[in-house]
Amino acid sequence: MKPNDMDIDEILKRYLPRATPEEADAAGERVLKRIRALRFSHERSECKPDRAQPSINAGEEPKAIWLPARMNMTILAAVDELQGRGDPMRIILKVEELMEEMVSGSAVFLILLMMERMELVTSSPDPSEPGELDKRTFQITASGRETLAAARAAAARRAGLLEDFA
Amino acid sequence: MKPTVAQQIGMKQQFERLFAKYQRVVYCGVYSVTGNTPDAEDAMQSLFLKLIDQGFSEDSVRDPAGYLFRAGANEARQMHRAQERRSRNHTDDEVGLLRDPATDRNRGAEAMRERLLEAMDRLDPEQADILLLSVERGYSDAEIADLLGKTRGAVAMALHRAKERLKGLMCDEPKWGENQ
Repeated sequence: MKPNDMDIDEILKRYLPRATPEEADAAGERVLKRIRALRFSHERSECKPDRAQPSINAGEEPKAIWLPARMNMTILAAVDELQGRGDPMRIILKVEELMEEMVSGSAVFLILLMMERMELVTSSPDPSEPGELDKRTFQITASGRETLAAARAAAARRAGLLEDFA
Repeated sequence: MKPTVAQQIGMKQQFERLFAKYQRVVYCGVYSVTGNTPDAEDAMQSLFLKLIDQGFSEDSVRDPAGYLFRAGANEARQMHRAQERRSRNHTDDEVGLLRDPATDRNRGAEAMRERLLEAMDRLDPEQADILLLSVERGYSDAEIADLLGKTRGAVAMALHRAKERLKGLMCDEPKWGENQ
């Protein structure tokens, strides 16, 4: 075939390799797992512990802390919705989904640790990586569930009052 | 200074947001160069690791999707060339078989695709980028010009030349080693 006989646009349209969105998503999932393993797991042991990190075995009375109410309750709701399957990253993404806005992952993580100290949530280590803080899965406690229910009732009452006011 | 666990979580979250937003774009870029899944995944991984190491932020470029598509295609091209250098142990007969137009016709679409990929690989990288942005991403000349910091006329000319060169490369009886 001579160059002038060739319809290069047609050739490009027909033969240029194109990935479908499904193929891209499947490949993305595999690559993300590899990257997580390469960059975000083995380095954890080299991380400095956070100053605010509570000692899980400390038998002290939890100290009263102030947390932004909406964020606080959304984190509890996210932990509750994930039903014990939520590691910090899943919880952060769930919080973003519930709040419909981006949130600071570090803040969510620290609040989770404080909530554990307040016994609103408990966490269990990943059996394969027991030392990894960000691999722990969090579960809401009975006390956490009561707090969440009370906060939801209060929010509903406030909404009702506003409706009456209007 | 070593990052705290919370900082690490923040970095990971930032990366995962970037990945979720642009993984399809990057994959399309790498796949259009490699034409196969394993190589495309390797190139994609390599690019995202570089982005993490460089602390890439999407706010640092005007058109992150176009930038990352192009970066993906470049990464795949570099990996492909490195692999080609490593595996340059074809016999002359094998090379002839791979590049014989008659054989290509018999092998049909797959051979045509290989031939196109080989020809694309022999284009000047910027020409190949312009062609991919236009054909695969559907960018207009003006959008490509904006992304590459060129005039619209220069992009239109480069696109025309890229297609002409591609035609020539696909019709030429290839000389093995020309692009080595």
